[in-house]
Parts: sequence; structure tokens; C-alpha cells
Amino acid sequence: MAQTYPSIWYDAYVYINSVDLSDFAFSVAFPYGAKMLARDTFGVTTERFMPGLITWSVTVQFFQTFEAAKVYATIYPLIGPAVAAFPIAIRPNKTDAIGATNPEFQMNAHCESMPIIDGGHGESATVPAVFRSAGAITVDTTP
Amino acid sequence: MTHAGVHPLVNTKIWVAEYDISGITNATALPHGAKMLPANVFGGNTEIFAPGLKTNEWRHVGLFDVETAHDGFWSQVGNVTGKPMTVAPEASDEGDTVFIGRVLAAQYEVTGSQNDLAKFTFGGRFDTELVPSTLMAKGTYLASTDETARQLGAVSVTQFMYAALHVTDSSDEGTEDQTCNVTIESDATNAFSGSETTRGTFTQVTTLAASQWLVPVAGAITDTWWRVVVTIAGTDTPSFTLGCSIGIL
Repeated sequence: MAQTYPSIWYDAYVYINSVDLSDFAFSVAFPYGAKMLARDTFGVTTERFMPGLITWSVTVQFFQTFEAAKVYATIYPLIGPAVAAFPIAIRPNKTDAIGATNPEFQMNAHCESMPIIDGGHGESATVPAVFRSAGAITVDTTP
Repeated sequence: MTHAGVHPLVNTKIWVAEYDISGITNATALPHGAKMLPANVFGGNTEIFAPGLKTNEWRHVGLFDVETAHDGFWSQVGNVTGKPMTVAPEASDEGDTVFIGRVLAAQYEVTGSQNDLAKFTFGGRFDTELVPSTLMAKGTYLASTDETARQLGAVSVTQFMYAALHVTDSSDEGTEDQTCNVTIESDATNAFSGSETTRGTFTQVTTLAASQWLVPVAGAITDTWWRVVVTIAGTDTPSFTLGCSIGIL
């Protein structure tokens, strides 16, 4: 079923460095914007801005697992100096085809952080993985 | 849908120095990441970053217990000599995945309110790598034991073999002659029938509890099989309770 308004995300697609980790992700935050640069001058009484560089990041909440080819095994090697940028992709619905109502956001990223463990006794072992920009976003709406 | 490896935090095991603090801890965190360095140049319209140094922290939260580790925690704060730490996120059976490092304590906080359980927060940074490892020996040893060999892999020329030892209890009360020696061996096969090589030797443990961070062993080491050997000696039924892990990074 294509995403419609209002939409409930229940089948989002999370692709990290050629690995589909959708089955372990339960939350995605994808802030996208532009830096606002002040351009106030004498003579005005209201703040004025102009847009600067586009900024984006992706934070995915995962259920942590140490199984081969899953969350930890995929993301841990992506953290560190001199690690090359890698592709990530996010779209609202994994099952449906890419389209205007199910765009896929494709970009190259670096991994800023993923805790090895972070939680309390009896809680689900979950961790947030934070990805930062290594390039512009490509919005794919072509099926 | 069944998610392989997804688990609740129930059996997390934590050793810090010579203390097993699992029984007084109810939350833990090992933040791990890399500094993101701005790498913007003219011509681009999107912020670009490049990864810098890796960063690691540690933090344990639990119920304050003056008898278990309070004095140890207190004395470690600000100590320039780091102590080994081992964290087993899921379970702590031999062969399980653990994370080891040598830690510096930056914070030990005890809090509590009227009619509330007193709590502690103990945390800081590392003065070594945070090393993904394997728990190779664990338990109370009454006799010398060659632990199970496991295929952890080779050590490349740019890598090191790391190991942490936590001895949390000893039967020696200072008057006996009991000793515990822990060594790390490697072999090209699972045989360990005379062709193995000793790669690391921890300082002999005698009385009381102790912890040690093995000086990292540089590669290249082509052997892929590794094991821990525990040698117990002395009179009056010696016993030593310990955990030992090996990692390659």
C-alpha cells in the first residue's frame, strides 16, 4: 500500500552500506535543512537570514544484535578515521515500489556514533546510530 | 517476525578492575563513535564531514553498595593508571562476545533521597582502544586448566592482540602459598599438542583479587587459534575466581 496522508510508518526501509537493516530498525529521524546565516544590517528592526549550506543527518534506532551481518557487525567497522564514505538509503515503505509517494533518499554518509550498549536491566537492547553527511541527497522517485 | 540476536538487557556482565559489578549495576553504556570534522570546500552546497579520531566512553549505573566496590571506585577516580574493564552485553559464557579496554575513572557519584535506594554512577574514558573480544576463561578454578581453544583469527602486521584479566576472588588469605598463573597461547590449528606459542603471560596472582591489562602484542601473528591456560598451585585447596578475554584489533 502506498503511503498516503496521514501516514503511519510501519514498513520503512533502512539501507546501510549495502545491508538492509530494516528488520532491526524501529525509528528514523532525518532532519534536513539549511544553515541560516544572519545578514542583519543597520537600518532594519527585524532579523534577516539567508540560507547557507544544506545540512542533514540520519539517526536510526536499532535493536542491537551481535549476530553476523546484522546491526553491530555492519555498523561498527564504519566508525573511525579514514573510513571511506558509504551509501545509505531511507524510504517510507520498503515493500512498495519507489515512486512519487514513496521516495527513496539516497546519500553517502559517515557514521558518527553507535553505542556498543546503552540501557538498563530488563530493557530491550537498543542503540541509536547517527550518520552525518558526506555528500548531497539524491531523491529517487523513479520506480 | 523473529529477529536473530535481538535481546533484552538481562544478563549483562561487567568487570571493572578486580570487581564483578554485575550484581550491583542496572544500567550501562559504552558510547562509541568518531569525531565528525567539517570538510566543506567551495563548489558544494551541502555540509560535508570527514571522520576523525574514534571516541569511546563508559558509564555504569547501579545501586550503591559500600561493601562491594565503593572503596575501589573511589580510589580509581583521577588515578593515572587505568584499570581493565570487560563488558559482556548479552551473556557471559565462554565464547561470548565482550568488549575490553583500560579505563580511566572520571566520575563516581553517589546519590539518594529520603526513603529511596542509594544509587551510584561510575564512568570515564579509555586510555586504550575499546576492543571487541571473546570471553575465553571464566569461573572458579581449583586446578590447572587448559581452556577451550577458539578460532579468533590472525593478527595482521598493523593489529595487536589485547587481553584483560580480572581475578575477583582468591582463597589465599596471605598465609598460604597459593598461586595462579594465566597465559595466552596461539596455534595454527586447534591441536595445541606441542606446537603452540605463548603470546602473553599475566603477572602471577597470589593473594587477594587483582586485575591486569596485558601489554598489547603486535602482529603479525599467523596463528588463528587461541586459548587461555590457567595454572593453579599451592596447598590447602587453592581457588581463584577469574575472567579473561582476548581481542584482536
